[in-house]
Amino acid sequence: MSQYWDSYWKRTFSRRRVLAGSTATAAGLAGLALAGCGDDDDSGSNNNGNNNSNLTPISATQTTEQPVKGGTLRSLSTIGSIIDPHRTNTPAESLTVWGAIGNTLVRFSTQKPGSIEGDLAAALPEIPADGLSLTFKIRPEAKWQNKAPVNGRAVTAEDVKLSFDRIRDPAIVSPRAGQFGAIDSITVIDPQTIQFKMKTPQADLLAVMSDQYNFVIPKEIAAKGKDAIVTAADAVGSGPYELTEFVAAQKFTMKRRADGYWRPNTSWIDTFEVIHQTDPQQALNALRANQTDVIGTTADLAKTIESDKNYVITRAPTPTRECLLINHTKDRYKDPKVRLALWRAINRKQVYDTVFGGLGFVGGPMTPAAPNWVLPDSDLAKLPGFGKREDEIKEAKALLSAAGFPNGFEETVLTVTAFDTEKIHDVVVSNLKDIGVTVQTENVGTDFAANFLPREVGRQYNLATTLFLSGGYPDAQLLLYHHSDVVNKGTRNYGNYGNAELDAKLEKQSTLYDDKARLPLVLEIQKDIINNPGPGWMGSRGVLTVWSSKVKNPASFGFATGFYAPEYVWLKA
Amino acid sequence: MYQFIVRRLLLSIPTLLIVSFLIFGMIRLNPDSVVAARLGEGYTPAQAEQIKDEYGLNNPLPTEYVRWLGRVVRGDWGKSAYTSQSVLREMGPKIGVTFELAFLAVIIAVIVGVPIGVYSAMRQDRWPDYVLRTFAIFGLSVPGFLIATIILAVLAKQFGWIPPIRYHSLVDNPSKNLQQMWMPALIVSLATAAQVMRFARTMMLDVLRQDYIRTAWSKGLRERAIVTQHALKNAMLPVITVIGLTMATLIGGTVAFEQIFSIPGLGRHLILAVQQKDFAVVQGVALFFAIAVVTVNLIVDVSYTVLDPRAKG
Repeated sequence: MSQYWDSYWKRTFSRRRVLAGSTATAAGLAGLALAGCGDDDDSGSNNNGNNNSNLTPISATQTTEQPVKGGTLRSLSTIGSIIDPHRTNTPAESLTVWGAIGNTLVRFSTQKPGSIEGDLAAALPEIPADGLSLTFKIRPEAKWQNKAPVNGRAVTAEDVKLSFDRIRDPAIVSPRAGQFGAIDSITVIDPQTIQFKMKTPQADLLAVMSDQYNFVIPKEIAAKGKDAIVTAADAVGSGPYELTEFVAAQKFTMKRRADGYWRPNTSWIDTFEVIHQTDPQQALNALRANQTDVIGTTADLAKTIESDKNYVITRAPTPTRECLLINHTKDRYKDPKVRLALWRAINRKQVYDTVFGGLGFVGGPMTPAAPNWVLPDSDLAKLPGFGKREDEIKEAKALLSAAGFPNGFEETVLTVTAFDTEKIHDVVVSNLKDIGVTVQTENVGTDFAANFLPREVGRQYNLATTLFLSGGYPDAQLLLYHHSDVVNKGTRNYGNYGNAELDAKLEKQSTLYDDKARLPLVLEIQKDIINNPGPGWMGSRGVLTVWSSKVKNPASFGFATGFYAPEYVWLKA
Repeated sequence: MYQFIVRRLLLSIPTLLIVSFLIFGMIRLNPDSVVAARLGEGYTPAQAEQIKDEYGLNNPLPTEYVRWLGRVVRGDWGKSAYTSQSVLREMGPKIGVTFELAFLAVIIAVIVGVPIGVYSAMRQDRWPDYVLRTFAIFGLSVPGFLIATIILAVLAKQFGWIPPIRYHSLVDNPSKNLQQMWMPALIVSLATAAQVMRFARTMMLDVLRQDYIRTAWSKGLRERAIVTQHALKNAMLPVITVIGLTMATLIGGTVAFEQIFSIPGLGRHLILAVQQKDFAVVQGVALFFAIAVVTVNLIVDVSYTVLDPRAKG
């Protein structure tokens, strides 16, 4: 498996080498990174910024050694106060807890990153040609944990129905309710068969179902409504571990289910312990003092232990995308030449080198964390914004000149001191200065949700340096941010970008369940957006995770960085 | 005495009302931030309204405040929007943790600060005085969280050891609890000890210049007897005030240390609630801090009055 991951990452990121990082991601298990990419032969003359590593690449941590049972895996993470996967909006509970105690209907494959396989479903669904229904068969061997109220009974289609009904129920106020808006009805055909009827085809539905929050819970618990999952006793899943202790903002403890997990030859570790700690330095102290086996860290701190053979450092992109948001309702930005000039002016490599110490992945309209869908680097290198810096500046100036701004212009750019956005802003300001655009900064302070987001959503800006986080699949990355119907489809198209031709392509790809048929269109859309840019996408930041070398097979998924695969992790004595 | 206590209690009511109204009002300044904190970005207008209704954000501020205050007086401090648990119930165990840390810090500060302050006064303007005052200035000027961060980093790197990060309550496991708590308490106490030391020194110097002390010296009493039997009690009266006020400050001032040392106290609870925009919890914890400070002040005043009846007037 080790070779597989090595070659996978070399293939995927052949020109997308992981750079040394600096960003703080004290994510612990929630920030589990992917197995790192190997070094490669890229001499990289392009400007995509993925070619200048100063952190020794570390091979994938997968091993072919025979797993052994036993031990306690201790980790540090941010622990919130809610363990309801359908209601939480943070990863610790959904990834760390429910990733261990629960199952989704379908899931991202650990063997083929980016692809989807059945989890509670025995296989991928049957989908008719019109794409208006998906029929799943539930695994007969799947059993709930031996706890009240289910006491080890089989997972049924009724459980699946009530779980998705609960997510969609307005009374629950699930942040994911909108992801299932295309579902018309959910019908239990028989105890092992369930059918989702669609109002319109939704090619991303399986990816959405695989996402980190959409776990299936017992019907008895789902029927309790909003406050169904409050304590550890309420958190009953079908996964390999049982939640035995939950203290809000303090700790989780999970133990391997005593009745045995229904998926054979998995779940090796006896106990998972997660302690709340968000400070990267304190987390590193705890690792050095052998009080934890896993931490999220920064590139600066990782460098202090990278040569220590007691630890393994893994790295991965997140689906977060940094962006220079452009308000297309402003006259100046209705001219595609001006937008393209801004797009070309952004020095993406500099952003990730400077702000994230190199821990980042330059990219276009789709996150590099979506390896199956993102434009290959060879294609990116031929597109605007990814060439040599001097060429990009020259082209950008020519575009501005053609647009009637031979001497550039002055502009106010909105930003916020949160999630390193203000640092990205500083780089972008210097980039824009290179093409004659003088920036007046408007920083709204430190509260992203209170002061910045409303300005974005309200289109009360001209340009804004910002970041977005959404799933690593085409609708969540492309349609949501670029469709001109900002009420129903492009609900995060806060710059009112879009045109009819692009809309048609976005809608078309959204209906294609066959990935092979869908991919060319998805790639074409990315090229279209780059050539006629909307938001000034830059790429994705990454996460670093440090593992004690005794931890084996800490695999996770290419799509949802941080998605944890506790079934396969084991500890070497 | 009874009248004094009642008068002080009545005076504390407007303070608490003002503090509570400010807290209540400030966290409602931007209702949209609450919705975003709960739902992220992808929420619908209907969901936003639902959240606002849940938090009472669609009602006038004074109306909501009066309702909330009425419930608080009746002992209902509300429920966490995230856990649906009673705010008071969630705060309960965390209050003990924070109090323990603050109490240990004050004990250490008194044990260290008072003798050193007295000794420093007795050796005024001689080298022990200079050395001790230098340490006191260091304790006052270098932030405790910085000292904690440096000490932990050095201990972890050089010795592979830091205090345990897994919390055990004092009741469940006193030994493990103290293993975790002694170091943060010690570091928290540095600034307090320095403050107590300097105040004790000043007060001691003041008392030592009094006529009755001069009389004691002239009677040929030993230094120890003069200090312990004549000077110390009078010098310590104002120090008690400082210690009391410090205790009040520490109850709300251990937040950084709770974060650094993974201690599940009230400060960390408050930070999480602020991040999550969990109004009921923020209001509850902030109100508790206000009540604690007012109460400690009251206790200090009362104890001061007991020790020095002149202060009653």
